[in-house]
Amino acid sequence: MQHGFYFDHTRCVKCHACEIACKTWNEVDVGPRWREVVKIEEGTFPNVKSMNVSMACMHCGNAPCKDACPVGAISKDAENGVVTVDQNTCIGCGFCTWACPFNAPQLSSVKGKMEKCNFCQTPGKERPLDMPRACEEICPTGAIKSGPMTDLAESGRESAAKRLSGTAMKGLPGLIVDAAQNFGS
Amino acid sequence: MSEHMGELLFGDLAEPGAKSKSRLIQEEPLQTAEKPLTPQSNSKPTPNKAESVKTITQARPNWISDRLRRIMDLEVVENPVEIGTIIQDAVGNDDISNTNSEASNPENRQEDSTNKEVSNRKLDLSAENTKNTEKPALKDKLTGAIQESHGHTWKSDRLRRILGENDQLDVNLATSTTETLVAANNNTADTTNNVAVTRVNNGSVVAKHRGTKMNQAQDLGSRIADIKGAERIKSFCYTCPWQCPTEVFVRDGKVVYTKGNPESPHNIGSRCAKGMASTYITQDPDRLRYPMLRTNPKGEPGEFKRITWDEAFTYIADKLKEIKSNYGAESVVYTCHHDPNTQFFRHLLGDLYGSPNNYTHTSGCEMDRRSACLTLFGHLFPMHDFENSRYIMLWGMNMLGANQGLWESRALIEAKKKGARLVVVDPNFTETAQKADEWIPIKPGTDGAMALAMCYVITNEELFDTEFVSRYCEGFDGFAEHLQSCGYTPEWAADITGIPAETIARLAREFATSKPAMSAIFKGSGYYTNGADAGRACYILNAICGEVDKPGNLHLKDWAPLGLPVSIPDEAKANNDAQPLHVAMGYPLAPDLPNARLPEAVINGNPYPVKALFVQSTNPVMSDPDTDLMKEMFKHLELSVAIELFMSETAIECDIVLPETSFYEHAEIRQGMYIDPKVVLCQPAIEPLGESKPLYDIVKGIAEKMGWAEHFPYEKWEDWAEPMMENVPMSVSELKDKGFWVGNRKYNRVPDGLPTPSGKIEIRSSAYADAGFSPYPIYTERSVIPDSEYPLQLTHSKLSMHCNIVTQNNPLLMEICPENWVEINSQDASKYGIVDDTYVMIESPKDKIRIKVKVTEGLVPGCVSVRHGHGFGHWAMGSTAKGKGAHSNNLMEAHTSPITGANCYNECKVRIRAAV
Repeated sequence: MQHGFYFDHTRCVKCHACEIACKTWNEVDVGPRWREVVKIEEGTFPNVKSMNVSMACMHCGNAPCKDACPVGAISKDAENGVVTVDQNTCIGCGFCTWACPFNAPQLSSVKGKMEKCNFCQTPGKERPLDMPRACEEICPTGAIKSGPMTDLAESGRESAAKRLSGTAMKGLPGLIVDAAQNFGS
Repeated sequence: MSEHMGELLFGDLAEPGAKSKSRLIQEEPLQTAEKPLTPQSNSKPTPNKAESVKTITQARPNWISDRLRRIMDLEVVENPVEIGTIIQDAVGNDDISNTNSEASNPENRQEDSTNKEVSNRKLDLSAENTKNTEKPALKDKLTGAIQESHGHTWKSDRLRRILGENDQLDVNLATSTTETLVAANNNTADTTNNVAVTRVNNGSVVAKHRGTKMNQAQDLGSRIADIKGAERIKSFCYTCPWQCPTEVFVRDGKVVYTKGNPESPHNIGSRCAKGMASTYITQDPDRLRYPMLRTNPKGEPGEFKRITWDEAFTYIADKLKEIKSNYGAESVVYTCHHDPNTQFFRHLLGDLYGSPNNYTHTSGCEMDRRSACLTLFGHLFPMHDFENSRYIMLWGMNMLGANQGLWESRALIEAKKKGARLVVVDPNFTETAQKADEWIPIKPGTDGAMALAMCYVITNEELFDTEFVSRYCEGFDGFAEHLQSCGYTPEWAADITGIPAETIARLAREFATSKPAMSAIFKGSGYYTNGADAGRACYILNAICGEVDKPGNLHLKDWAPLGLPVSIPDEAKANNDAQPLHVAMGYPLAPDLPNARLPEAVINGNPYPVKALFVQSTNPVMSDPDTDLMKEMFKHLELSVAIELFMSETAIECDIVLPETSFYEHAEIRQGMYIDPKVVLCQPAIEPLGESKPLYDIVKGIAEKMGWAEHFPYEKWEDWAEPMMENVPMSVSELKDKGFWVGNRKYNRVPDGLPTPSGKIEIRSSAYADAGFSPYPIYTERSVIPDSEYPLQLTHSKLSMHCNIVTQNNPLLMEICPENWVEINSQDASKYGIVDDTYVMIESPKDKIRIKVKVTEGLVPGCVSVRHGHGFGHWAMGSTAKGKGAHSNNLMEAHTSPITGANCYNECKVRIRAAV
């Protein structure tokens, strides 16, 4: 069952707690940011709008990073759809970064290997999938949710989510963004 | 793929209509332009749909007309699947044309769907339609409006294709058409985010994420402990003063992870970035590890040698005795942040030693707000009941972007989801303004004018709450006359604030007719010399509309019945008749020490000599205006003691530096900064770093050398916790297990009388009158006005990922935000040749700084906004912090509010040029 994230930008206040929770849980070095919050602004004064997006690896259905990896270090879990980089196999060549449309895999200058969101499945610190992800657990406003896409589909905007999870299977990313909400203010 | 993703992420961001649509949705809860907004009108169907449609169409003529034209041309019906499916699903009717108009009328919808017979008979149905609908055209309009308001129908065609279109959602809408547009929005919000508002036993309202894993939060902590192989300890975080209860996970004497305490309604398991990253301070190599004594002359950056604690205590005690005999006990001043353990120092230096000068840091924070609350409501710190509010107006308050309490952030977001209207008055398009329905880009330092003009409209048009003001407010009639005689009209305010008079009048009407409503301020409006009265005026808006301490208003919270940890018998107390420093300085209304005036007392002995300064977990050299003067001050002190985690900019100027334990290493019990009465406990999770000591041990050590050992008899923290918890219905051991105690919230305290001189809300402040100030708020221009040479007003704003000392040396936080920057409007940028993301020089008449610039649209032209100007640019502390970003405090002269003595960080004019 494909797992993924649900993100509601109307709740996100760009506090970056998800980024830090991700780093402290998975013990990520300074450098790679497995999850990153960005702000997008548009308009001209005084009609300004902006929105915040917290993005991590999308755990894509067809995972272009996986195809790009020359040593087969990236795998997509058959059961839960989580895409992970095997740190023992990775040679840090960076091809996956080029293949990824979201710049999710990043080079750790400390370890010399590619790293990215592994859905809190870092060896030795695996969070069972029935628990919230570190980012999800910490979010003060409840903007991030994770789980099987089918569950997210039920709990979120039902039909939109269902279709998105469908697209994830077909190759689109396994992420549901609350795109239907009005943009910013 | 990425192209598709962009659309998935942002909706039809690029589509020109997107903006108008989002505006439309936000217009709906607000029908005040047409008629008063009452709780009924928000929660129940609007009586006249046609009218609400009219409002909407009028509100956005450009886009609506376009859209409506299409609707009128029956383009909506061109998509028969959408509408037809709705009807078929909902009522089993296959007549598209009839059901279309039927579906479009929400009021008819319920009747019809409850009566399937009617809806199944086609012939009857048309009759039904005629009966129920006088204006079919309006129905069509309404269909459009509902669909527009429902976020799903305005997607670009492309996104629709990607999503395969979502008729299901339209069914949801159609089946719930008894609800108003507003309610439809609520419905959307609820189903989308699956959030239910649950009332828990203690009476507080907690948003629980129903159906998600949040429910398993209780055992989540133990599972996390298992995964990390760690022990779980309940505590709270003291990175910022909002003290979120936490769970700290400790393995082999090291903090390995931390998260929020899920049982606490304060933060229900969540944390902020600063709190999550704070575990680093338990291992920071730059932490102070042992007491140190200065070896070089005062005035130079300190060179220190390691000493023992015993030597340190002896040194301090000897100096204290000497100073008291030479100058009197009042010449010793203690300043801190808001550490609850400060109480120990109050017992030592206040009760036993006799100094009346035990202060905190408020002058650099929100002193104007505090003094406004005290004089108006007799309450130090009203909380914000966002969750139940329908109309929220925030002045100079970036609660989502600065370090406000997490529960407030969540409550505000929930309120927004429930359809509350949020208006943010701020020169800066802050994180809070981003979420607002309306951003009022006011000129800096003019909040008071706008608030007074709003009061003028409300009194002039008699929109105030007659009963409330006559029974519970002191001086309302005089205030109304005062507004008239001073001529505080919206037209007057328009010139000053840059906000059109119509907008001010409309906001006043909206505020007065929306219930429950709340007008709240924080630091921003107080950073000017006119800030004290601006704060009062913003709060008086609540009072005259009868919006105080009811659900959804400012909440005059009850404090938990915490006792004192140490009791000093009267006979042991020192007698000292000296006035506290703030009174002697001429700021009798100051709730705290006017820090910017302290150098005058130290250097010139005015109003009386200050010879010793204790600085604990505060960094005045860095945080107060006029850095040069602050440094100079330390040269003139006979004793200066820093009790700190790091060798801060203040510590390096001091004679003696004492390492304090971090909040992971010691115990604290304090009032929870939550809307309900609350006690939070911080308990030691690990051993102190190096030789660092908790504050109690430091106080005890000094007390022993002073001969007062018997007053500090406790050996461990649980001993002094007992007397503190005496009146709280929870034992210390229970508190250790749970981490916090929460009491019941009580509303409507105003009729019972307030702790003001009159027992009422003092619109006419007797305290102000007694101190020789205008008893009613007045508007005066701020002190520093830009001119041709220095054409820009310097303003300041904060960052969500940084506090001061505790975050600035943290690699994780510095990775996200390695330096601060100045923001400038694009109009000003092109005028002064400034390019985005480069470095600029900001020059004031006093000093200049080099800083990164961001060109933005989200700032009022005519000012620049330095982000966290007193947090960055450390020159003394921390290998990570040192030299990052720019410190802006030396740009300004030390202006203080004449009423409260608050630091006026924004009283500064500057010019800007590209840095070479």
